[in-house]
Amino acid sequence: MAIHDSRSDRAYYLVNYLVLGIFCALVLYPLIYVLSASFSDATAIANNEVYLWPVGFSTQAYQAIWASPRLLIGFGNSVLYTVTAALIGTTLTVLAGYVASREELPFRRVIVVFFLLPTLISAGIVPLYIVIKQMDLLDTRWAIILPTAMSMFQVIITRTFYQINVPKELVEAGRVDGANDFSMFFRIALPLSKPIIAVNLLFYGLAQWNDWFNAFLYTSNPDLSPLQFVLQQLLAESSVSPSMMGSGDVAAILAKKELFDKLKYAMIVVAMVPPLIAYPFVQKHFVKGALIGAVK
Amino acid sequence: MSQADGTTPFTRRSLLKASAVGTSALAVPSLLGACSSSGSDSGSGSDNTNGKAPLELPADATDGPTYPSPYVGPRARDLKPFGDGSTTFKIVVPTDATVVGSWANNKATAYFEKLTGVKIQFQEVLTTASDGSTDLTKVNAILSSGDLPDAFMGIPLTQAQVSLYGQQGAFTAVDDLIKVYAPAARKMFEEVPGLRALNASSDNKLYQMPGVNDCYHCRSSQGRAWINKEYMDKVGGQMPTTTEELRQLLLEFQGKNPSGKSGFLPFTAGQGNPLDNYFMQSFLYSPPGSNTGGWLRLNQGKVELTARLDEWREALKYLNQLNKDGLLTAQAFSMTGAELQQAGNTGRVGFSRSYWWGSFFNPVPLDANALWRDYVAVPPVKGPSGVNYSQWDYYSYSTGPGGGLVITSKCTKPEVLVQWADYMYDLRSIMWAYDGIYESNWWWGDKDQKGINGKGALFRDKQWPAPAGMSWNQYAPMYRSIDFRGGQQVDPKAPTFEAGLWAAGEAYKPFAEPQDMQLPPLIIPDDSAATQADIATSVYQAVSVGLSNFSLGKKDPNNDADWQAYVAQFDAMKVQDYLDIYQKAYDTRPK
Amino acid sequence: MTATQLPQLTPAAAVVNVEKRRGRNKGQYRSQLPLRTRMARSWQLYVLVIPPVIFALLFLYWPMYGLQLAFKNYNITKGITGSPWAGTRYVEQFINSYLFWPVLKNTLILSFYSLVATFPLPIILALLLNTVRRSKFKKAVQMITYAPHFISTVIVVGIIFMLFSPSSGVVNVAIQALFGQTVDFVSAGWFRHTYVWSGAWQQMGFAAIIYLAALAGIDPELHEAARVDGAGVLRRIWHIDVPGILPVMITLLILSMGNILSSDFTKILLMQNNNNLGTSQVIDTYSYQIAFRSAIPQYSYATAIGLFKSIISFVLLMTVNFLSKKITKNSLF
Repeated sequence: MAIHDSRSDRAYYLVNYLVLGIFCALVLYPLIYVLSASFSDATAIANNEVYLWPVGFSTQAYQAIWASPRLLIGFGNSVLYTVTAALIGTTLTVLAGYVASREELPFRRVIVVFFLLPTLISAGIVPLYIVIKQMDLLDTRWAIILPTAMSMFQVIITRTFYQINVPKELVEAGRVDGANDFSMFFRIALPLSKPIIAVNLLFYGLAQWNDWFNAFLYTSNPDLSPLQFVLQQLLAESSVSPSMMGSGDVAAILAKKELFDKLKYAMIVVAMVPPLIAYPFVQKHFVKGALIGAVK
Repeated sequence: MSQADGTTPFTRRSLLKASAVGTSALAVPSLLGACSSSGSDSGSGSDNTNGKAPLELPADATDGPTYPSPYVGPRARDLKPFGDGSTTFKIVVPTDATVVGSWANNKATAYFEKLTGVKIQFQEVLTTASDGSTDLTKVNAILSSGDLPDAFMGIPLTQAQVSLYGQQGAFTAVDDLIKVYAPAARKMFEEVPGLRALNASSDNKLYQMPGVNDCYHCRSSQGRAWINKEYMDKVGGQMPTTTEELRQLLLEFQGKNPSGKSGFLPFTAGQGNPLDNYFMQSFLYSPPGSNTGGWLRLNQGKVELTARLDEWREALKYLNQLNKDGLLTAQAFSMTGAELQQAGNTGRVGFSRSYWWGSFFNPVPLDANALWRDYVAVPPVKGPSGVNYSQWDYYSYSTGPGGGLVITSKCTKPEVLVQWADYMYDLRSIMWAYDGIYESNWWWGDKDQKGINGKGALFRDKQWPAPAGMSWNQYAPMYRSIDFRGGQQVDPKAPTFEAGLWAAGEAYKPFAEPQDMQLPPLIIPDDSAATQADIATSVYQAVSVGLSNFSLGKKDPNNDADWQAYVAQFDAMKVQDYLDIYQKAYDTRPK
Repeated sequence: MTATQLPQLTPAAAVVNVEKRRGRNKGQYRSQLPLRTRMARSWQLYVLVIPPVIFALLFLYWPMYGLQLAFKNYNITKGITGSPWAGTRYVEQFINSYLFWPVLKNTLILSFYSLVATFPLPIILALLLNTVRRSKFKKAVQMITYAPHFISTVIVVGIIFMLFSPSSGVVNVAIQALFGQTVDFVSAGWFRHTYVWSGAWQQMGFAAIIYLAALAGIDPELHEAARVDGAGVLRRIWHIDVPGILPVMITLLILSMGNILSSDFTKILLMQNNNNLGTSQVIDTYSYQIAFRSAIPQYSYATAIGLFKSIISFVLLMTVNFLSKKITKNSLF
């Protein structure tokens, strides 16, 4: 770098690091808390004795999760669903987003509105359940992936990216070179859209990773359950609603409460680790200039 | 989960209250009467009786327990398998990985298949949300899609749902089948006179095999309060008997801090532990409220809303006084369960308006000198005009569908499931279903030992819930009468909470409101359900916000304008329509 | 060349210019060829869009037949289509409900507050991160800020209650030490702040990703050239980065207008208590309360409320889209 930072720039960088640092600390504290709590004794958590580091170090919670027989199956299922959903969702979204961005396309606005409307209107759970049933998808792996395979928000955002990165001029230039729409899409648009493909993969993968609702609603076979649904079940079954206090069978309430206190933090950690590991692989596509470099 | 206290209470019981079938104190329908009234109906059930002679109850088993005397409740009998295994029934049940485990591989499942000869295929459905509240999303989707199983077991449908869907043809009426195939159920209906009416639908048919789980202390659990008797002794106080004595005692607590700890809380209540359940009873009988209904009582057979009566205002003045004294602060409304427990664990609680020790202790250790044992129940205190009620629940013994079986119209052999459910009312089945393996987790009571009710012990168990995978928790139809529950053996060396809770129940019983003041659980018809829920939400908001505003001095209960503005809200939200819905449901309830 | 002339060089500015030209040329472009010819020429694009269209028809449009529930008396044995008609009874009931206006007001205040507070944050975070030159620090910050996205709502609310508890929470211990009194962060007065800022905390890092991806599309040479011309960082951010991600910002803003009547319903439900009902009762919690905590699930009522939301959202979205087209030349359609 031949040019040195000006004084004001140095000040900016200082402030920038400071702001980001403070911000990180703010975000980090609750995360550290969760991690510490997951390794703490249940009584210490109940008494609010955990501030920063584990109190009464214990791995009981992780042992309890590990002992859950469905956990490993759930983990395997989750990986399968996440990868499949990321691929399906990204493919559909990129196709829809690209086509909707082509301004020379007749009825383009109709297509955009067609993809936009579902973000505004939802018929609710019951009709969707009935439709899934009529398609004979209940209790299949497809029922866990397909109902939420494509987000219209992503389509609209992806379309915006294509409008910026594959402007009309580029397409017209391609036309002059004799490229048809297929080759334009596969040879020009796709290579140009690495960051947005990465965003989509991440978005769909994570949405699927975090989702338990589809499995809950559309399947009854525990062998199909993703990790999050297994965890959700543990959480739901062990949590005590305040009103249960009045309902008598105190031994059960106590047993549940103890389990819940033990599990809840460890479960977040378990569910959070894989996406965090996966993130850097996606992150590298956000490097500055990744896109322009590809054009030249 | 205590952090999740933000959700308002939503119990099976509150559901029942808001919506379920009811009976009155005077209605004591005999079984015969009940059956004859529906006997002429041609429900899908009557086709399956085939003129068969009613089954009789088998003789008592010789290897059963010794029954205390007197004893009303389930008995262990000689049951023989009756199913031929030709049909596999599909039953939807709640997922419960921690107690039941896999329903298919559960030990009780194997036991019952052998006992009855009936093969069941269970479909597990999650019925709780992550905050522990009931969530019937999936069950409702199954019902709406028409993809019905043969039955639902332990699924907490509301009585109104059972009534409506039954009449729409989704569920099978079981009265006629019970007459033939269910001798134990007939005996249960005889012994628990109000049970059938509580579970019947608005067409007076029974669309479920109901359950009884008569927990004595639970009848008063909603409205209890606790005080630390060590601290009381330290400040030289006595168990208060009037509102003024209670106030003085709390002031003593505040002034002298008997705990010696900083952050001592002389007075606590909080989210999920509403103040009114205890304090209003010194001014008028007022049942609990929730966002699905409540604060409704009967006055000479007329339904009224207690939260707009003048006595309610008097109670608010008292609470306002406590606030002026610095005893009652905003925390009495906002404190979460976890915060309350932290305060309790460290001995910082003087007086607590809450259900039981577990509300302000976590964990609740069983050591003989554990801190929680210092806390005793405070019986209702007399108000200025001499009123002291306890909120006594006369109807909580019925489990509703959450502890029963609902057979759908898709089931081609409902008589088999009725008889199957009838086997569940047997004492030995009840023990297997809820306590797991015989002679591994439970035994018949020891001779010369006492149960929690002080009479002879009927059974004892090692732990409850039973270890994972051996019981059905509390999902099967059951007949756990008050004598049955009272017969649980107490180990004098290691007392659990049960005996203490029983004693708390005894302390509140003398103050129970007359039964004809309690609005029984009622069935709200479908065309009023949205209106009812709508106004109930408004009422809940107005009463809750009013209670906190008046108590905390943001509004002045002594100021007529403030009070009138509060009362006027109820007219604006058309509370009369709401009361009319309940009145009609009450007047036409099944008897 | 001075820094003020920079915008002319940026691709984003080029896009804006393109958009401008588009606007001007639209009529001309359309009239060039007959519709049929243009459609035939683009057949490959129609082929590409078939899979997503089929998906949308099956999973998004087919279930919409259920919208008729809003005007029906639903009977589970007769099914959605077989149930008798009820007219506009449920929509009317909602609009005439005692809580309609308070709930609508709460919803709008909460949503707009949330939008105003949380919309710019991810943008700022992304812009700041984008100028960080130490890649390890950058990666670490990104990773840390994105992590809270994975904490389920129940736990987030649990953490809020625990950290902010008036009797024992760390935050209130500090506040007590400084000001001598505690703050109840879930009281009626504080509920909105707590809800909004905890939401910002949780989602900011994740939301920033989309902007980071957009920033990745900006030619580094533009920055180099500007540097050579002596433009400071702030200036380059303002004239290169911001215009570069402007279309994405506008898109997200318009989309969020379409969602303005929805809120994080589970979180509100968990944070609700008797004290804060006056500010925390929003359309979604109200709808859930009536439709699914009533004695019998009221699908018709829930659908009617949903339809009401859809119509309002649609109007809002169209308005913002129109305004945006007028003011920034950016729009969805």
